[in-house]
Amino acid sequence: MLISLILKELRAHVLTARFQAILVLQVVSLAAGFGLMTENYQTRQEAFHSSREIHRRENEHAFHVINGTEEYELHDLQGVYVARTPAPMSWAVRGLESWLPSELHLSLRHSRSIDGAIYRNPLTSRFPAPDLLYLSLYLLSLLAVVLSFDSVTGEREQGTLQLVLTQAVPRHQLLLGKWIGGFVALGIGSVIGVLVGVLFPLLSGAVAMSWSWIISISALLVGILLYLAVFSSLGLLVSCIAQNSSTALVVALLTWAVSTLVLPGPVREMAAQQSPALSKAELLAQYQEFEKERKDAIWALPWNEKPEWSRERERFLKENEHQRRVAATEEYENRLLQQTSLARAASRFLPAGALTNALTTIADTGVDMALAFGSAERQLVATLETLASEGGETNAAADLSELRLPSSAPLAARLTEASIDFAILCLYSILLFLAAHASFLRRDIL
Amino acid sequence: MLSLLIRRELLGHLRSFRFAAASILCFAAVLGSIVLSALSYDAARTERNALVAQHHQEVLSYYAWTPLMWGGVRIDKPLNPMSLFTRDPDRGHLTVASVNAYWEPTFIDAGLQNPLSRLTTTVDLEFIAVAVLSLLAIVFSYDAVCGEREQGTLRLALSYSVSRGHFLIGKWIGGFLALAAPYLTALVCGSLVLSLGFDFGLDATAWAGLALLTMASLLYLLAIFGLGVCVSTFVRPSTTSIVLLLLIWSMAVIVVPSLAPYAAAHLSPVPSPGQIEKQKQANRRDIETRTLRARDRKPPSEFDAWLLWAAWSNGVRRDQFLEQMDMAENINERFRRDMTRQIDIAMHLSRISPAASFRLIAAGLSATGPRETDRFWQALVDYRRQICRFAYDSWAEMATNNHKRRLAGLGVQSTYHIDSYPRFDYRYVSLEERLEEALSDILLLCLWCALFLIAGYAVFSRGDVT
Repeated sequence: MLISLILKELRAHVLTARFQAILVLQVVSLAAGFGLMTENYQTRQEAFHSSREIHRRENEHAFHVINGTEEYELHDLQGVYVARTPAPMSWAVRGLESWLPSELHLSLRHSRSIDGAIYRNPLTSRFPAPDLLYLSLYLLSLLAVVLSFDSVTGEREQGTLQLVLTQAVPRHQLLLGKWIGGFVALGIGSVIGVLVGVLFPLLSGAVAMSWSWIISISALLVGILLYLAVFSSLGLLVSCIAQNSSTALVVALLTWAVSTLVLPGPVREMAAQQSPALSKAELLAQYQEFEKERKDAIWALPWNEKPEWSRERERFLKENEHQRRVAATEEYENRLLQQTSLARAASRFLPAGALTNALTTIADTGVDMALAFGSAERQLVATLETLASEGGETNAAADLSELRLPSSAPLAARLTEASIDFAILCLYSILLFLAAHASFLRRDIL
Repeated sequence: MLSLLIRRELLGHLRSFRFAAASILCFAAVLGSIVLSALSYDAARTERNALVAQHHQEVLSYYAWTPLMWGGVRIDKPLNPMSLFTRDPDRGHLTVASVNAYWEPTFIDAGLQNPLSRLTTTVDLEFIAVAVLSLLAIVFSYDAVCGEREQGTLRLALSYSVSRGHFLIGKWIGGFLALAAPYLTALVCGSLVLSLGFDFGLDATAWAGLALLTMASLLYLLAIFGLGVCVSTFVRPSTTSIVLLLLIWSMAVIVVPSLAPYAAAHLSPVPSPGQIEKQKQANRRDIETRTLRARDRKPPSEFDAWLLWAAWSNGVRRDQFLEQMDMAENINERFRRDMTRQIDIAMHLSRISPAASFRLIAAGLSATGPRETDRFWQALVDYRRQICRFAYDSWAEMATNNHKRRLAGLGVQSTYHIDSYPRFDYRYVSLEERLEEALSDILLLCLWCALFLIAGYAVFSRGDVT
């Protein structure tokens, strides 16, 4: 019985021009987005490989200076150049990766991100990247609403609802059939779109197929389908409550706009305000202060002391400064982590926030990755400082030419983390469906 | 007659459920975004004041002029009041850059409080207008004609001696007023909150900028509204009309603008940062080696001669840095030419969508767009030259003066005053220039409006009434 209801619903959908238009839109947008993002990923990969080679030569040159002569020459001339590996899944979910520098220039005095200022097309930050996350967050969810807003009201208006219910069909089965039929109709396009899209990186050889890769892609797909289920249920609920299709549509659209467009930003911002963190400029200022205090202390050293004593004192002061820097950095990281986790927890309660968190976690281009990058960068600076003060092998500097983007956690741990978001999305769907069920049972069929 | 039609349309909207729901949403979103922006702007202002003082202290703590060369000056870009309404997508409210003679200017992510802030869209006024209000424009217009046709009231209305043109104009004006009224009210309330609740000291430019931004957003909404009416004249059931409109909307607002920059990168690629950096590095080293050779003269041991030597050597060093800066800028200039081509292609591609046009207008009017990025970079580079000249020339001048004093039989004098270091003074472009930048897109939006209105009229005057 249920199956025939589902099939009826599905057939009714598939035959409409609306379904076909939505299908085309889903597939075309996803394919175009994937195609362009893959191209972008390949460009970044090529840039990484060529930069790494260039930097390797540069850095070996720099190292002779480090090894041979005084510190002055080091910060005067050289420093090391570092190329960062692109995040392996950034062709699917770009996430925060686009904000990380792809090239760094580190010296004892400065660390600068080379592509921070002029090498970036400013429009790429004004218009979000057309990756899987963005398209499913806004486009696919809107299409889900468009497909489902009149599933009950439409039939009520046409009078077919009455006809169906005369045939001894239980209402809950009818509703379930509608939901499943509508969801499958919606899912077809998304799944085809994603599968077509995934072909781009596979065929162009940008990624190699592996089990973990397949698992990640499937997890991304599951996340998207769960997210779409929420909006499918929302459409169903609204169409059960509303008197006619146009009211249903207005309500569904406004709810969609509020939950995906309007709320996520402010929720995150307000949560972040609850737990203020140090800014990076403040951290740098603290470093500056420690350095100044050390220098003042050195100036204050009495001139008539024995030279070895004052050298001892200087080393002590330097060590002291280093420890204070480490402590300040830790404090900065802790507070940032605190703020981030609070904002993350708050934004998760919205379907859009949950999807963002799930997808970026699975693709490892999210907040954890950004934090891991930050500490990897600081680690690199520390290595450089050690090399400069103590010396080392020549290839040690050449190794500095590459910053492997650290994986924030193994895939299994990331999937576990994302499963919480999956659960939240499921909960939303179930609650909305139950609400739809309750209102449908109580309503007139005319 | 026309005023009657407009009133009829307006009242029809005002009594509807969607007007109530839409105006609540519009009011809450606009006011909320302004208040949240104002709060974060306020926080940014406090932080900036602290940073300015601290960065000044940092310079004062240098024990000579030359540390200015490698320690550099951290400069804080003045806050842009327009970022209350259109936030700079790269850096938010605060921009801190480090300028020194050795390396090119770098930006310090002062505004990056929390990495999460870059995963969710910033809900500023621009975003509200581009996404939420345009959606409301569709909700208000999708059944303008076909709804009345379905209910049969269209026939009734036209059975009076009402010309079709008048009827449609009444629809446009009445419906658009119903859409714009809550938006404008919310904006007025938001402006009151800004001027009474906060002491940002917004000047005439900021208010004029807001007014222009509002007008541009109204133009954009009119285009979308006109599209809605146009579609509703030739599509039969209103459900089909809304579905069609939403599909067009999702393409125009969500898909096209995002695809454009990446498609442009495909069509007109630019060299990678690593390659450019390599060129710069090679040229740097050439210049460096040349200067080292030129300076390779043993400093004289006698003090008077040493003073002259020091002044000369500083001059050589300064020229070396200035040459390196010119070289880097030349390379940047070549890169920028490629990048400008890519940006232009991206803009042209994205202009298929009125939403992208509006966002470009907003970027131009609020000075947060590509042109501002270039302009600020230029200011940083000029400042870098100033710092370099100051650091070396002051030292050389002191050495020369002391040499003269010694010749006159006077003692050596230190004239070290670091606090006379050149200050970074940056002014945003004037409103006229911003308007000039946005003009082509404003005209484009006008064109869209005219196109949709005329198409709607043409279809309606030929169409059936029932």
